[in-house]
Formats: sequence, structure tokens, C-alpha cells
Amino acid sequence: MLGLVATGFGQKFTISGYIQDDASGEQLIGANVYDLDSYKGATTNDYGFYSLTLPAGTYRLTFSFIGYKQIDKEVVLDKNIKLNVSMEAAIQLEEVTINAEKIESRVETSQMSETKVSVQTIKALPVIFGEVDVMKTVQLLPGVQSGNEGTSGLYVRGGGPDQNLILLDGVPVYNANHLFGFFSVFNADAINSVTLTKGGFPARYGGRLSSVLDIRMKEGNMKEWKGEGSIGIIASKLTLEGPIIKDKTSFILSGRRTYIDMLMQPAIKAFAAMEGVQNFNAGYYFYDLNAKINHKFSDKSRLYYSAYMGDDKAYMKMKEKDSHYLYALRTKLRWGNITNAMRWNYILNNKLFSNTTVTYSRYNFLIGMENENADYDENWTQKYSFEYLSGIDDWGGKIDFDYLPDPNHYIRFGVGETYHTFKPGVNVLNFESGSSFSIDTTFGNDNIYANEISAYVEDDMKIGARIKANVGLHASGFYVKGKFYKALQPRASVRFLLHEKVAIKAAYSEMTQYLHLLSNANVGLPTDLWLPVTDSIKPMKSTQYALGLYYNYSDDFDISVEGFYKPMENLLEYKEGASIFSDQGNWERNIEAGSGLAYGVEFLIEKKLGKITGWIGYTWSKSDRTFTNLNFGETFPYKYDRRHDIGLALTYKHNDKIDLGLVWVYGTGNAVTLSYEKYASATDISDWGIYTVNYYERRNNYRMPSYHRLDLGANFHKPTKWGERVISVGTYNTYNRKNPFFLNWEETGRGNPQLVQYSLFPIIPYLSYSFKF
Amino acid sequence: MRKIIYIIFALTALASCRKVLDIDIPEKDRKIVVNSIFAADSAIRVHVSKSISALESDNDVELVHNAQVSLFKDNTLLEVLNYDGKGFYKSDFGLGAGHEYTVQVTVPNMNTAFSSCVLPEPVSIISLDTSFVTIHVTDEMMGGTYDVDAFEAKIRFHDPDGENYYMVSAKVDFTFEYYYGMKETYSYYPYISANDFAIKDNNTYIYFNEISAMVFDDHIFEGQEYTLPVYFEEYNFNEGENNVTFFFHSIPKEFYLYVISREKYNKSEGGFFAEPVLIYNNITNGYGLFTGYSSDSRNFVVDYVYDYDGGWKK
Repeated sequence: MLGLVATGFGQKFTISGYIQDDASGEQLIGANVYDLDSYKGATTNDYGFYSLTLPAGTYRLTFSFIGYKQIDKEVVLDKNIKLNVSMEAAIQLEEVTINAEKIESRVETSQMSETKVSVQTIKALPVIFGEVDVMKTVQLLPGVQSGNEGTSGLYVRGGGPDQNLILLDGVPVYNANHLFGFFSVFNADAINSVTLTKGGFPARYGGRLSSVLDIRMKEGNMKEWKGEGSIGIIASKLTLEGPIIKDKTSFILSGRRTYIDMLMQPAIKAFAAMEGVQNFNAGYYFYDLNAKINHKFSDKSRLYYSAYMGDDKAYMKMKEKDSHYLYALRTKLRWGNITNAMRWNYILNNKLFSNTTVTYSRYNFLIGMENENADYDENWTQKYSFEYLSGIDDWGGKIDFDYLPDPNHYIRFGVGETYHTFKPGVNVLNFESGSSFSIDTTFGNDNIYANEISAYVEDDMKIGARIKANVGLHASGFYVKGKFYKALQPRASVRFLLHEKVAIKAAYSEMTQYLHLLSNANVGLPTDLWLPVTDSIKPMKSTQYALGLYYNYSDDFDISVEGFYKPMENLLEYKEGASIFSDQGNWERNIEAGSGLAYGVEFLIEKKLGKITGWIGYTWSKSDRTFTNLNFGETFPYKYDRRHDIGLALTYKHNDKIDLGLVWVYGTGNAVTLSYEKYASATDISDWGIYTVNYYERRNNYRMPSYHRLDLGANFHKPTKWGERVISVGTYNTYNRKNPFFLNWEETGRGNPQLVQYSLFPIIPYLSYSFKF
Repeated sequence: MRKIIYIIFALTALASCRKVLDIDIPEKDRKIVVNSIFAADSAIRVHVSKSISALESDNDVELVHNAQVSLFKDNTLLEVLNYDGKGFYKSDFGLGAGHEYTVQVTVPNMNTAFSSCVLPEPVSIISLDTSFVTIHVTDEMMGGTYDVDAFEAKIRFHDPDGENYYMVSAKVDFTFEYYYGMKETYSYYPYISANDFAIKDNNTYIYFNEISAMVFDDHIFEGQEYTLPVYFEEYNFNEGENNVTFFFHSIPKEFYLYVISREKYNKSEGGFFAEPVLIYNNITNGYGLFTGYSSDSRNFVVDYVYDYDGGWKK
């Protein structure tokens, strides 16, 4: 027994380095290193770097990470040591030792309201059309709700979909949706880690009220070439990664495209022919492309470049022509994101890690139409084209530092700046009639330019054996059209260890958001506009109080309960009767500002190890809105106010060849505004008849029927000569629940209206084939 | 693979996605509906009916024949109105401006409904200048402008202190003479418009009792003299003598709120993208609107001759 043999002179030394996957060289985020005797330790940061400062002596250090074989090392600390550690993935679950889990339990950290979702779990769970989706898995967590059926939007703790900071390698993604929200833009094959924070926000995050979804892409295999891909019902994807210079430079490239447009082409053409339309073509597809390259200059210096590009495109073309006339019509609808991030990690010394990032991101939405008519007999031609463009461009730069003076403090600080260009909607109109008359004009909202700055400092500290706290301050400012808004946002999160297996945590966080998403309440469309604060539209603010109890029931079971209370200010809604199509020249006239209040309790039982893994979460919550000019100033429930929400996600690994997945969700129905009564309208009464108007008791007065759904899936793995193939089968909405998508009053044959519920997805079986080599 | 995908889509399409929902509305929830928009110096008509379930059609509206409709002036009973058929109850007297009127409607086995309204004093037109003009209209939906030929009236008035609400309308009377000598007078209310900051958005139009009007408040010219230009399009004229009247009405706040909400309601109903709108109503224990207006007007004759070469000509 070597134990801790301190020199007694109080001199301290630092051991630091990177922890990485042995096979791929991929840095491991959140891996632990700690002294077995004193339990003093450190965790790797987002780049796999750790630093642990201890008094001089000899230590038994343990390196652990979930899913990897633990490594124990004896270290004589009589000088500063640089130690990079490569960990081997555990093939058998039994190889994952218990100690790893102890330190990773929710009981240990000061951070609350944070969940890491493993990519393995995301891939093992059943999902609609078999299209693996990060966002849909995140929606299963307590405190997180989906919006409408099948969509990828996140509604976290009573907040809206615009209140989530979705980061891909540190770059904000403004529209994370493909196909009107049914699929998210994130390709799971290219992703390394997914972390959701919904409360107790550390000071390093800012700019959104309700959550931070931090998605990190894989870096690319440093050791050897690898690939994986899949062929599914609606899309196929392929990922390649490998070293460019072994152990120095690697890359990963991942692409996905849907092909429903190609498959449906014969049917569309046949239908057009039946209708007598010549040269008709229509379709829809989306694609996305992730790329990352990283180069290790030295143990101290490393450069990453990551990029994402994705587009959705719907189109329709038709042309009718003969010797007498021409009629041609082309329409297009296109939206997509581009994100770019260049990051440079530099270790200034063994206690100070720096990361410098330059980013560019862009979201564009375009709708266009071209029409051409000609009458050759009359020698007459006419051309008309119209385009509507909107979007947002961001250039950003930031520098972040991690300073680890000793095991009791983990200090982070940094500054950042983003230059936003908002394009709130520009119309381009072109009209030509023969040679006599033409219009070529551009009109609409002008671009808006804004600068957003931020600075933060936070310290994750241990105070004695029982208390751990993360205390910080996030300062931000926003300069737009001569107006400067600023906010100081204090953050604190404290853990008190009641028992080695039980902890209580409390958190306070103030958040300020300078961007608003103008979105119609009923559907999530790519037309949703990101817009900045202005003279009359103030920044959104929230204050969140959270309290939680955490119980590490056994080595593989964590149980937690968290309560939150979140008042919000300056939320935006469209005015009554207004929509995205109203008065495009002046969007500020169409909106109202008001406040919101959300509170609730979340229960989570999570099993991380064993043949069965997964979680069940239950949330009881309430979310209200109060707007002076809506609902006659009275408080009304938020559309996605959901009293009860249950998410069950389980995976069962029968053996190395078969694993099964199960998802069951239940949620109180969405709140909609529905009329129960009608009455004679004052201005529509005459001697000849009466017209009625609907009486709406209040906004969002009616609950749609509850939503529930069971998805089942199975993955069959088989080793091959070249690697492994997996066949995935399953069903979405297995018991064919007719879940409400929207309600509509319709006339019956007798003239009496009836309320009709429309559902979107019945039972949908899926099948996909994937491979790894 | 393609076959499998087609089979999956076929299976998906077979599962029906439409379901009729039942919502239960008990009879005891029916409310009295009271509606009246009355003009100063005219006899009031009050319409009484019952609300219907959202599952019923407009033809199912039950008119109330046996209500007791009492009208109070400044809290003193003025009269009990007589039933006039088709749900209407009628007074014998004209109502004067500057008083509070209360209507109380009692229907057997239902809660008594009531509502009050202060009929504002009319605000006088100081002057009214008219001319034929070309108006540049901005297309709100598509952007850009286009021109219309119009008849414009500049109405000058003095806004009294305090919160005031107004309504403007126009009426054209035209006497048509048939070739065999018979004369017939047609009256109609042209669709009136304004290009002015006082009328801040488009949710200001109202059409009732065949009157087409627009409403506005005094936030821009509070307590001051103001000239409001309004116009209607030239096509409303007939060739010959047109008897034109511009009305400048003073309305209570309730009327204004009703118009704004009613117009927004029209725009939102049936639209998938917009939130439904709650129409303003001021009936306690019931639904509907009890409001009025008082007016000043100017009348003149426009002898209109259409110039077939160059458009209109007075």
C-alpha cells in the first residue's frame, strides 16, 4: 500500500495531459482522473484536457470513463508531469468497473439540470422512419417536451423553441430542422457527445433563456481509416474518418441525403400525365454534410476546423408548350444552415488551457417563383419572377481559458464577440412584358446589423468534504441601431452532500436573450424569423431557481428529483389575428411583448449499466403567459403547457448480436383556443338573417386529447469480413394511437359543424441497414 | 428495397388519420345575447337571442320573443321596449347624447343580462374640403405602390380633452331616371379609406346596418384641432348628380374595441397560421354589444361626368 506520502513541505506539482480513446485517438470529454485514497480528482474538458495539482508525493491515480476499461497508475509527483492517457473501450460490460460510475454519479457534481446523452443510446432507440435523431432522444428527457407530433423542436421548462442555444462545436445553429421539423439537422454518425443543460447554467453559457444543447462532433480517427453508413427508408448516409498524418492529423467527413424525391418520381410523373400536364416535375429532399479536420502541432497546440452544411429544397416545375403558346412555372422553397468553426487549443502551462475560436454561421430561407407565358400567334410574351429571402449571418470570435490552480478550483473565464446580420425578409420582383414594360425591384425590410459581446468568469469549487459550488458571472451587451443593451447575469449552483450517496443541490441563474424568433404558434416553419432587440423590443430575461435531490441508489442507478421556478420577461407573440404573412414591411407592428411563468417538478430514474439501460422521466409542470393586449390582459396557458409528461427510453442488449429499444411517451394534450359557443354578431344581424361569431372563453382554453406513443425497435448485428453490419427494424407508434396534430371545425351534411381531429403519423414500420468498417 | 419502401408507404396511407371529436356543451351554459348599435336622436332597436353550441348552425339561433327589455337613462327607467318581431325590441323615443343608457334583459329561467353605454356628445365638423385626387396606395402584402383615382374629403374638427373615439363614413344618394320617366333613388355607403397616421392600422373597418365605416382614436391629436383626409374611390359615382354626405361620428370606447377585435377576428378565422381572436363584448351575464354613436355631417352634390378619354371628371 503506497498510500499518500506527502513530502510535508507543502510543495505542489501538477499532472496534466489529454485522455483519449486508444483505438481512434478521439479525445474523451468528461473522463475522470482521481487519487484513489483522497478522492481528489479532475475531469477532462471539452477537448479531453485534464490538470490535477496535488502536494508532492506518490499517488495511485485512476483514469476512468464510462464504457472504457479503468486504468490505475502509480505516479510519483515530485515535479510537474505531462501524462497523456489512452483508454481502451470495454468490450464486455463487466470490464467497466464500479469506481468509474461512483465519480460520475449526479451526486458528485455541483452542476444540476444537466444530462449527457450517449450517442450509443441515441442510435439504439427506435425512431420514426428509422432515422436516428439526436433531438428526438433529447425530447425524452424530463423537463423537455416536443412541440407538435413528430417535430424536433425543444420546449424546455416552459420556454419556447427559440430559447435553446443549440451549439454544434461551439457554433450556434439557428434552425435545427429538416422537413418542417420532422428531422433534425444533426447526423448521429458524426457526433461525439451531446449535453443538455436546462437550469443552473454555468456562466460560460449565455444568450438564451431555457437550455443549452452542446453537441460536439467527432474529431476523426488518428490511428486508422474507418467508415460507417446506413441505408434507410427515406435517407442514406456515409461517414469516413481517418488519419491524414498518423497521430498528428485526422479528418471526418459525413454526409446524408434523402431520396424520396427520386423514388417518387415515377408516381409523380404518372399522376401528372393522368391530369394531362406535360413536363411536370416536383420533389423534396434534404442533405447535410459534416466535416472536421484537426491537426496536432505538439502536445501543447492543436487546431480544429469543423463545418456543417445542410439544405432543404422543395421544388415544382411544369411547362406546357406547342407552336401557339407557352406556359412555364417554376417554384422553389429552400432553407439551410452553414456553420464553420476554427478552434485552436493551446496549453499555456500545465494549469492553464486556452481555446481560441473563430466562427461563421448562416441561415437562409428562400421562396421563389418564376412564371413565363407566351402567345406566339399574337407575338406576346410575359415573364414574372418573385423571390422572398430572409435569414441571419453571424461572424464570431471568442477566447476561453480553463485554469486549474488546485483540485478545489476549476476556474473558467473568457470573452467573445458576435457580429450579426439579420435579414428580416426581402422581396425581389421582376416583371417583363414584351419589350415595352419591365419592373425590376427589391423591397422589404432592411438588413439589421448588431454586435453582441460577452465575458464570463466561473469557479467550480470544493468547500470542505460536503460542499461543491459553481459560482460565476456572465456579462453581455448588444449594440443595435445606436442602442446598447447590457446585462449582468449572476449564476450559482451549489451541491451539499448529505451522505455519500445523497446530495441536495440548488441553483440560481439569470439569463438574457437578445434575439427573438418570430414564429407562428401553430406550426414550425422555415419562415420563422430571427430578429434582434430594437428600440421598442427589449431583451428577453429569465431568472431560474432550481432545487434538487439526488440519490445514487446503486452503482448503476441514479434517482433524482428537481424543482424549478422560472419567471420570464419580454417574450414575444404575434398580435391577435396577425401572422407571418401580415404587413411584411414592418414586423414590429405585428407583435406583442409580455411575460411568462413556468414551474414544475421533474423525476428521473436512470440506469447506466447492465443489460438494460435507459431512463424514465416524469415532469409535472405549468407554463403561463401574460400579455397586456392578448386575452384582454388575463393570464393564459402557454400552448405547450403540459401538466404531465412521461418519457421512457430503454435499451436491452440481449447479446452482442441483438439489442432492443423501447420508447414510450405520454403528454397532456397541447392547449388550443377553441370555441364552445357561438352567438349572433352585433354587426351581422338584419331582418334577413343572422350570422354568428365564435365565443372564445380565453386563449388556449381547450386541451387536445393527450399524446402517447410506443416505439419498438431491434438491431441485429453481424460481424462481417470487412467490419459489421446492422439491420434495424421497428415500428413508430406501434399501437397506432391517433394522436392529435390539429383540430378543425367542419360542416356535416346537415350544416352542423363537427370538431375533427387530424393525426399525422399512424403506425409506421421502418427498416434500415447500416454498416461499419 | 424500393418495393419494401412502397409497401411501407402503402401501409401508412391505409391507417386513417381523421377522427371526429365529441365536445359536450350543457344546455345550462346558454347565455342571453343582446345586440344594439344605436344612433343618437333615433329610436333604439335591441336584438335578443340565445347563444348556441359550437356544434349547431347559424340557422339554430333561437330568437327570444318573451324577454323583458328595460331601458334606463342615467339609472332611471326610461321605458320597457316593445317586441317588434324577429328578435328585435324597439323603443318609442330617440336617445339624446351625453347620457348613460343601460339595457336590462330578463328572459325566463336565465340570468338577467345587462349593459351600459355612455352616448358621447357629437364632435362638430369645423370644415370639410373635397377634391378629386390620385392616391398612392401601398400594397401591404406584396409591397410596392399603385395609384387610385379617388374623391377625398378633408374633415377638420376639434378633439375635446380626454380619451375620444371616432368613426367616419360616407353615403351617396343617386336618383336614377328610367327612360320611361320613372325615378328611383339608390343609397349606398362607399368603402371609405384613409392615408393618415391617425388611423394606425388596417383593423379599423366596420360594416353594419349597410354602413361602411372606419374607426380611430385620438392618440395623435389629443385635445387639438385636426384635419383628417379620407377618401373613397371614384367608381362609386354615377354619371349625373350624386348627393354625397360625409358623417363624422363620436363613438364610445366599447364600440372602438369591438371594431378592432371584430376585424382581427375576420382575418384570423379559418386561417391555419393565426391565433383566434376574442371579440370584445360588453354584456354582463351574456354576450353581444350594446353601444351607440352620435354624429355630425356635411352634405353636397357632385355632378359627375365620366370622361371616356382621360378618366374621371367632375
